[in-house]
Amino acid sequence: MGRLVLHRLGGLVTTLLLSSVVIFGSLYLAPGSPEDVLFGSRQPTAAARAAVAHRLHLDQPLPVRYWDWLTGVLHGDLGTSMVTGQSVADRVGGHLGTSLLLVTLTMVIVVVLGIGMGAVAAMRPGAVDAAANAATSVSVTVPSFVAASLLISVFAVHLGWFPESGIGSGFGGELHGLVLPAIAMAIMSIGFLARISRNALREELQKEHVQTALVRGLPRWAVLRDHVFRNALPPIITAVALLTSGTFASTLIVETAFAVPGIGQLTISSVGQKDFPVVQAVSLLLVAAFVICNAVSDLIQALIDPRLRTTRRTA
Amino acid sequence: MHRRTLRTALPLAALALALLTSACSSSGSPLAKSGSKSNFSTAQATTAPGQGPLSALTWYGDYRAPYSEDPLKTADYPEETILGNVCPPLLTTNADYSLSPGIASSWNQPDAEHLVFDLNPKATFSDGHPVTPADVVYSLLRNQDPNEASNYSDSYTDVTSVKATGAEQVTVTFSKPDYLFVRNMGILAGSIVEKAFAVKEGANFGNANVGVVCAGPYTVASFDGTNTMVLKRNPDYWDPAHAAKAATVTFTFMSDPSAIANALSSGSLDGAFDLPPSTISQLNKATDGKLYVGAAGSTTQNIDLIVSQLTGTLGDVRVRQALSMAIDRTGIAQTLFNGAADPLYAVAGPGFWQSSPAKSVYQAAYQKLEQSADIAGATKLVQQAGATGKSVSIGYAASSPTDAQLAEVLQQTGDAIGLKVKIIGLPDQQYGDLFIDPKARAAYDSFITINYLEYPEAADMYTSYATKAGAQNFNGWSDPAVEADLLKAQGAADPVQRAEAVVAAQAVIAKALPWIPIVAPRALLFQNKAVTGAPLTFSYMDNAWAAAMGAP
Repeated sequence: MGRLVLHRLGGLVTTLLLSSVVIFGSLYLAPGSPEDVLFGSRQPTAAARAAVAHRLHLDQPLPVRYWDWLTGVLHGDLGTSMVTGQSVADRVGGHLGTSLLLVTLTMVIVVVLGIGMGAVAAMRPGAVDAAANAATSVSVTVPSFVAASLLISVFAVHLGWFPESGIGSGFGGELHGLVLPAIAMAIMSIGFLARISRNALREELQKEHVQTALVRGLPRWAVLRDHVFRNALPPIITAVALLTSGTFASTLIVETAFAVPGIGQLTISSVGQKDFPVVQAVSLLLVAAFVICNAVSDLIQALIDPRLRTTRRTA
Repeated sequence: MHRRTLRTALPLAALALALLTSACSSSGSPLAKSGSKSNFSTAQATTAPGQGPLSALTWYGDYRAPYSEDPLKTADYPEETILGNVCPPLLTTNADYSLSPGIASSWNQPDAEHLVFDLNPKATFSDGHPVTPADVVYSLLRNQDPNEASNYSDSYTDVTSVKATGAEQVTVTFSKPDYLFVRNMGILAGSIVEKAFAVKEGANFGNANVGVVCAGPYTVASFDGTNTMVLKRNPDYWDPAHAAKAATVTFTFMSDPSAIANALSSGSLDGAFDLPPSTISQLNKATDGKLYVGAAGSTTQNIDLIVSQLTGTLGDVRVRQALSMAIDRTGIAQTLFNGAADPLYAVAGPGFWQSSPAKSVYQAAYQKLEQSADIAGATKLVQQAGATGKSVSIGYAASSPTDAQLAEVLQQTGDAIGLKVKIIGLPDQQYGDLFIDPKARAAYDSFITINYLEYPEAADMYTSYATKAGAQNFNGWSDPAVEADLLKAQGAADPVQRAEAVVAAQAVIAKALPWIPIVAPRALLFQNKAVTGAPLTFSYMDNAWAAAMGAP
């Protein structure tokens, strides 16, 4: 188990390193540069432009800039925003909490409703299953930006239950303001997870050992817990991990629609402004979220299935 | 001094939502009807004055956060909406665009080449230090310093010196007669910063974590660089008559039109200027506040097609005239702008002279330029030019839904008169390059711009793109008569004389069409019932408008 954790950590570091090279390089290759953003419609003299480029270290070759950035990061310095001059840690850190809370809330909703619906559908074939099937068919086709505008018009504009825009202050206010954005992101994932859960549970329910246990008169809840749910968990956990990392990416769109001050707006504006250090930090956070979600999913699978507790094949 | 907008909207979300809203609304009542009428008279320059104090005011800070707090660095909506409250210019531009004393208590032009300012001895910076002539000289001359790369440097082209000429006096000297420069002292081109602080901070001056020291009614309390900037009232502001009524002003930055409309109609924002046209129908229905739609000519904003070079198909003046003749400006104003825009027949339209004492001169000349779309005539003109079937390319900012729709309309128009129009949506960076880099421009025959000037002065607008030295003269067009007339306008103290020179130049420019005017957006202001005092004109740009905001 310890080796598995180490193995995954090594994978995380390698992935981050590789993706940092790719992100840094692609930003560098795309047309335009941060000093163009800073100068806007001004036409500075060549000397003034060179001075700004020098101050931002844009006059150095790519490998040198990447190395400077990398050594800075290893010393805990994420760099300085090229546009506002603030430290990247300040710009990102201030909003990261909100985005994390939003993702957590979304995934709680997805897990509770998704697995709940899947379980009900699996155990009640016929009308209930058909209804759940219809509901999930609709929900998987509702992208978050469509859900956002629907939710705003119904629950915020007409009913006034939730704020239409922005979030409140304090943890309670923030949570209240994040409910609609979380639901907007959750709708699609709920349908997806419900489908996966239903199929996984249905497959386990039909297994011979389950039927035998039930026929032998074992309590139904014990059979469901020990034989059905436990064995159906691996695909469900994999799906939850994938959905979680996907949710990090969709916060970009939903935060904009609801004017939630998370990292979404920061990411989008920084990409447009070619603010390398900020984009690099946010992109790596997204990559890290993806890798960590997968690693956690593997670890949980290893916990529930002893056969997976080796370093060789986990995912 | 003439800027373009570069809306860095979010391509995906903004577009998707914009399409959704328009799809939803079009099934009900047509959008064009909802906002086409102005609901206040052009004589009214502000909403009712604010009476009582406010503990907090929240306002839309426009589509992105400012890049810098330095007033000279970037001239665009976010900076110009906010920074006038922190770093006001030497003179105050009132809501009706008239100039009145500010940090300078008086000013006069003893002759056409000298402009003398007497400073208000009471004026102090937010750190308590008095505003001295040395600060003023430093602040103005920063605009000429190539290392500062001021966004307003072109305003200073004809300035030969700025000198302290007395204990409280500063004199600006011009290389040629100039009665137009003084207007720049009422916008951020004349913004005053504390010399000692600016020199000490050097290149970091204005960064979010360094800030600025200025003499405004507000100071920056906090700025996260992305979502909000909070201003707080300067308790020791030197001009009690214009002290701020709101203890704090929080600016929030967002680019999604639905999010803006929702924030305003729910009251989480108290108000907004410069609203996207797609918010009009929702905000008209808001119950907790009012959407003010200005009349024709309520802003200096102008949307034009800039001809990039005079060599391609558009190099033939007849083709430019034909394209201009065929554009259905009324239709564009009604449908693309939900009625909150007017057809524009000269780049410096009514917004540039509505409030001028020489209005009648401008108006008579403008009426001669008005024309309705004439496809048949335009087709004939294209044939005469032998341009039938020739291709014309139009670049536009792909992130702006309005620009994209406008480009499509222009494409249909061009195709209808026998041209082959190709439209190219450009990412923001590449679109921005069109204004800076001749090589980038060379790839397209023309591109769409939303231009504006902070103050209504037609001579300056024309000088910027239709003279050899113009900062926005991208295609190199020039005409000796126009140069002479605009020079005459610059040196004319009498507004009527100036107007006569400008309309003479305008007559030539309107025929030659180095830029093809399309429409002029109207001023849009949303204001919550709980607050009042916002200006109804474009004067909010670059001035301490927030100080007048208070409880009704």
